Amino acid sequence: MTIKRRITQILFAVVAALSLAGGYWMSQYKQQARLPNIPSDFEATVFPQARELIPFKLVDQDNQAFTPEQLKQKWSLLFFGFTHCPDVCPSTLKTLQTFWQGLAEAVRNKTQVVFITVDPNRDPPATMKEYVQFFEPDFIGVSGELGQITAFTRSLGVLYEYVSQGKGENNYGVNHSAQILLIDPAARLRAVFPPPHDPDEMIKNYNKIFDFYKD
Amino acid sequence: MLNKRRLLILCLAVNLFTPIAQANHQAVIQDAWVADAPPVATIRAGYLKLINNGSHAISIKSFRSPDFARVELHKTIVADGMVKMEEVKQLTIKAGDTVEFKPGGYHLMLFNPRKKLKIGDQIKLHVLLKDHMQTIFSAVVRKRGATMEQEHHHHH
Repeated sequence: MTIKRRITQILFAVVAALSLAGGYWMSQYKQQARLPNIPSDFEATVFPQARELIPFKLVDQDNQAFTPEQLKQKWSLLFFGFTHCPDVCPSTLKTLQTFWQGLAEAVRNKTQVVFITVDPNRDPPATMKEYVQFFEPDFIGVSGELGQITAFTRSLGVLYEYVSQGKGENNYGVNHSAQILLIDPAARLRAVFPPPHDPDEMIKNYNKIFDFYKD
Repeated sequence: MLNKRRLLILCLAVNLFTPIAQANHQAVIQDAWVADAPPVATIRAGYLKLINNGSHAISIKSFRSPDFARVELHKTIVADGMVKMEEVKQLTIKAGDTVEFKPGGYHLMLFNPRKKLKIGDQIKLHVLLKDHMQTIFSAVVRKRGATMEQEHHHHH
């Protein structure tokens, strides 16, 4: 009796473990391929349901308002960083430049690349303009009030923090998330490209997403 | 009298140059470059390969350059989904080892260029070792490669 009960218990545990593992496997296994509203076979995180952005009001490189309206009509790749960042930000912008130049013209015409500072104190619109145009004249640099930037980044899951780099008020660095976010032409968050970024991979993956959702 | 003075000058010269010569045997710097950046950028990145050809470990204490207000050694790390830069106060390289400074890893942080930098410029740099020896080298200003891998494999 005790042995039978024991066996039942063990069996139950095994079945439970198997179904848990199976469920996990099912959820992990090419999740995107199984969902009809997501393209298959690409390396990026595409959300099954595009996420609406919160309202925000930033300032573009020409001192014009930059709101969700400016993210409509085109697909937008957003990257957050700061101009005092010597390694990762310029590397990523260089990658985005190569990506941009590798797009077919028809795709490029419906795409924009936006670099948004998380350090508006040292990065006013004019600085952003000079910075992004060095990499690609078509790129858009965005600054704005820190409160607006913080609210926007938080809603996107983009994090940043200031860290002191020694003496002096302006002597700080900014740790920040390095993913590239893809916003669809209805100004909704559609996908995330996690680092490290390779331009060829990005072109391949972006084209897949672009083709899948076009109209 | 003249001979003594000559000897003194010779001694001074030997004292001045010997440490550098010794350091050169041990710490070899290759493929040093400074990434071209927008003129508005006040911090530049420098990359290089540091080879310890000697028979004992060397410790890098600091870098400096007459062309920049300050030079720091940093390392980019990815933690908790965030990119962070950490200052490296001392870097030890074992005998026979090579440490590569490259985008996304170790890099020199060059603060406030004292002159306008353009592609092809040679930037003079000093690396100071813990035993007070130093090596002088130069880094060329050039464009970044399309990927970190390309930068990694670029040789001039």
